[in-house]
Amino acid sequence: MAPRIGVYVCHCGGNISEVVDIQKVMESLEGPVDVVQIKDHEHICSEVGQKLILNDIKENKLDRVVIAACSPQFQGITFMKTMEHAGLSPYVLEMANIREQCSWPHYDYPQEATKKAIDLTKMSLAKARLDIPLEKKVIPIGKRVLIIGGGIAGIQAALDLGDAGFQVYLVEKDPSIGGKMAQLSKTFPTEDCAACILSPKMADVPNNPNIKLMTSTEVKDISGYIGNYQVTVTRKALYVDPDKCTCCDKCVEACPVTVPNEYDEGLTTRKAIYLPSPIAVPHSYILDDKTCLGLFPLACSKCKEVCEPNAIDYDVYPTEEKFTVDTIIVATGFDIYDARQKRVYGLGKYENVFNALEMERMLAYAGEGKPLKDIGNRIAFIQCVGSRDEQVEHEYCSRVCCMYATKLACLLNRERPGKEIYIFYTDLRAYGKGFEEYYKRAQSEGIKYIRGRVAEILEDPKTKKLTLRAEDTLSRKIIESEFNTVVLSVGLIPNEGTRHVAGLLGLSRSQDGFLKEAHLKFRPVDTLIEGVFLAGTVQGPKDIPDSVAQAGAASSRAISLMNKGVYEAEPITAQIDESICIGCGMCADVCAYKAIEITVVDAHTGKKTAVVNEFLCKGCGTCAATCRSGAADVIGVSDHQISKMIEVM
Amino acid sequence: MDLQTKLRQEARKLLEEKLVDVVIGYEDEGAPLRTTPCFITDPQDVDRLVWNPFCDHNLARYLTARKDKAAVVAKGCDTRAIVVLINENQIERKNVNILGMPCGGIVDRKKIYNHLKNGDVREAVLKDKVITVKGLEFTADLMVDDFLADCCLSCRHRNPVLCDVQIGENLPPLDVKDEYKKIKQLEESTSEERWEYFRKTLSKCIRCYACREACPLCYCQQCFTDQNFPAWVGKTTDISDTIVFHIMRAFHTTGRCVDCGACERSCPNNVDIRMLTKKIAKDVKELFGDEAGLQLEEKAPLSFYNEDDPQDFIK
Amino acid sequence: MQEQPENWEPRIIAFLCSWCSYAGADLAGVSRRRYSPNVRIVKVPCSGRVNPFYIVKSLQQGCDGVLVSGCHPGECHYSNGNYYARRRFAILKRLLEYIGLEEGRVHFSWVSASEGDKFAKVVNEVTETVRKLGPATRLVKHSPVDGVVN
Repeated sequence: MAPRIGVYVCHCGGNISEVVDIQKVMESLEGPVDVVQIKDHEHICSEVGQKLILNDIKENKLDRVVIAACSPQFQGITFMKTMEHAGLSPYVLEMANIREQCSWPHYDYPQEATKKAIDLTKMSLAKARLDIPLEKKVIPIGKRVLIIGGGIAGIQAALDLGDAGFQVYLVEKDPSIGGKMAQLSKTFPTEDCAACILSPKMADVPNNPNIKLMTSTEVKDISGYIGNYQVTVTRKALYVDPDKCTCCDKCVEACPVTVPNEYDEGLTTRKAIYLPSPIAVPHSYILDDKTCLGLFPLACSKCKEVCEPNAIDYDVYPTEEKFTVDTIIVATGFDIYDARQKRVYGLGKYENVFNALEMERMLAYAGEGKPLKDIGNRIAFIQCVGSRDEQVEHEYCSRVCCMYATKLACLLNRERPGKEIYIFYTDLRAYGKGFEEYYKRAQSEGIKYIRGRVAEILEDPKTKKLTLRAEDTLSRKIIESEFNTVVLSVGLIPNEGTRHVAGLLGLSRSQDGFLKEAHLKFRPVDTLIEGVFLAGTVQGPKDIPDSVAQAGAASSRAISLMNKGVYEAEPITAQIDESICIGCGMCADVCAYKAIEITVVDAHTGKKTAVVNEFLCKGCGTCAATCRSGAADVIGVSDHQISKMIEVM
Repeated sequence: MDLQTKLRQEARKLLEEKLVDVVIGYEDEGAPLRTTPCFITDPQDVDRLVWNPFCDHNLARYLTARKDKAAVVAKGCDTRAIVVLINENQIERKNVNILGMPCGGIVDRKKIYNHLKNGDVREAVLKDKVITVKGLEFTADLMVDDFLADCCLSCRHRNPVLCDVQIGENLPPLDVKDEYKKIKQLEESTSEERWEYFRKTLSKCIRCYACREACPLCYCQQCFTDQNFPAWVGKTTDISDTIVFHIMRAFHTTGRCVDCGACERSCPNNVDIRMLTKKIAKDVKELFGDEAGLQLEEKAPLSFYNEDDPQDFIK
Repeated sequence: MQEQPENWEPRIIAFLCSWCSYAGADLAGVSRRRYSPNVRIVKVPCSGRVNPFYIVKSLQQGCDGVLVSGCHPGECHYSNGNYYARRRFAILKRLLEYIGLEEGRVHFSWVSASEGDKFAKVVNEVTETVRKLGPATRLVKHSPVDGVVN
């Protein structure tokens, strides 16, 4: 059956009709049998105009509407609503943009503007003939959120969402939440004790009835889409029942195994059974089966023998758990750059070279009056180790190092007077609130800032003192000076967990390896995958306030999606003609949304074709233009439609 | 032992041990200067297999849409085509057993016909590197190397890039001075000259699609030329339609064409098809540094990008 | 350059990404920025949507010039469609010109939603380049195009 098309040409109160010859446009459209009516109107977007359309659709049984008026980006939504009121799909409406594209820019060429208006209207007509009455796809969406990563960003997001009444699954691979912030001594620029401000927040997590905390847990698999993400997690065996453990420490005394303590960056040791940190949440001992003398078969069992509450059970195994969530927040954090790769600085080789996180731990101990070692009086910081360095392929600035070095320097300086502390920097970046003031204060307290990259460090084999060589680029002098201790201000890098989660969810990464936001300015916590958000350093280096702010933003974005109860997906999506598709996979390769999978569709013949997940697809059409066989197309902007538009030319 | 004997031995072993269901190779049907693809399933038949400079088909063509396990005789270029087919999900690596043949080049018999002024060749005997051709009124001794296909003269992958068994030792690389000499010459001529050149060569095309059928990478179930909604390419012999067919067929080989020359050799009317495909291969290499069919699990250049790809052509 | 028939005006088709260049064209209109009226616009979701056939068919159809315009690198609404488009058109443009299509018939640009002026400038440049080349002849199909009758 031929379509019944109604065409409206709008005068736009003279905006169009003073340049474009409306009568001519209308005459040019006469002829084709499927053009049932051609009308003009002074203001088709007015209430009267819309009523006219409504009425015509009913009276003349129109099933397609072409409106030659302003830009669809201007009044498109208005007319789409009119279509809906009339009981038609809003996707059988086409607009010819004869105002922004004709009368306005070509006001001094009325004849040419009229010709162009005729062509554009004919093109819209050609497209309209092949329009399909599409409907928006509605998916119910619940109130369940998965948060991956229990650092400060993950904790903040979990608390925000939990407080707002959403069901939160907080998954953390380590035995305790807290992340990197839990290792810090104090925070810049206020010098609050990190553990003191963090631990109340950590404690709030298990106390929140809406948060299910899963530590020592890793995400194994995620499939599905917004409103229906199927999550599989692996929960490691803990061997210690946190409900029974009283933290009496007897097992630790009994354990014969001593290994480096991760929480202290290996500067101290722990046993194979241990408390992850003094502020650990959940506050429970765990048994590290990788360093234990042996569980299968049991080699020691001394800890179990001394455990009075009988909290230890060796006969437990990793388990898998599956659950469904509606949205996901990725907060997998960062790693510090492994400065051993910068061999000129001698980390791991020279006794008195440390990275900044090691210095954080040393200061934390010193603060408690239990210094780990004497670090001497002359201390140098080297900035931008693994940041802004093309040689190690980290061109970006890690944003926090200038300030944390300043903080560490101030703390060291104050800890015991008489120190001489130098910070060798590339550029000093004190951009945040209170940062510049903090930097000034550090200078007034005697910290010396030298602009220049350190070329190399040499260790005196006997005294273990370190000689630094650098050029002071301000005074143009070569500096060669001896120090007791050197601290490397290492940069932030994307971690393994992030790579893993990005792979599972199909999230794209920026050139620096951190996860890519949907839009750097306007959608900074969204990803291209609907219902997946980013929080904290997973998106790029940032300090604690920024991580917390972003976590809040991510939770509010998730809430605004979930609170509606339904998610409406645009019906303009890619479509694969399975009878033509040969399964070469190029469409899947170019899809930014991982919306296409190559699937065996006929088990008997083994025929593979591309299959589009219409909830993930955004209808960009890159797959269709990449497809050689013509199997991939976009419903609503089909190749056939565009070819008909070209034929008008 | 010569390569042909070795090849037969290997084929017999594969069939006898039931490691494969079929061996796809070349046989001599008696037509001079030619071989024919053959499909051997019985170990008794392996002596039908031949290996000589007339083995010009790209047998990768026969690997798609198979369910059995096949061994295939493959020259360097053929193995590159196989790599592309594996990367594009058309073959499973485990289902194909590649009998890799280091190849010194194959004969383009059209060159021989031209040399003989289209004298009717009734018989051809190959001995070492000399082909003795006989017609009704002539006999001539021709050197194989004087009649190699154009693609072989600029071949940089004479040895298999991927194989299960290699028959014979690697050949030394060919000293190729300028792989793209002809392309560059054409590029340097004027737009009018190029248009004239292509209009002339493509006007010989009768749209028989032999090129498409010979190409191992033209495996679409429905070619764009056969589509109706939309009909991107008219089915007429209007030169515009013919040129568009060739432009788009060539475009579809972007980063995939391995320059085996099968299309051009299959053409009954001597259309210079490789002048299009080779041009794209040159551009792909220049612009993106890619070369087709050298690595498994590699994305084709059009389904991949670098943020700093060249864009000086964009305003 | 060939002789141009009297009153001949170049006919140019433009495929514009709806998120950037199409909005840029709107902005040019809203700002009453004059530009040559020879261009007919087809709105596409992304420059990555533009199938090479669109360009080739337009040329066959007798368009004297073709313009494809999308978002600047790094600004694609769909993250990376323009990057794939860039590769595709790098090859296609070279190929078309190599077979003898005059340089200056097929154009590509990055125009953002805020670049109304740039849009006008690009259209003017394209029109002038095409005008100098004269009416398209090469690749134009003279027998009736299949299926053109509706």
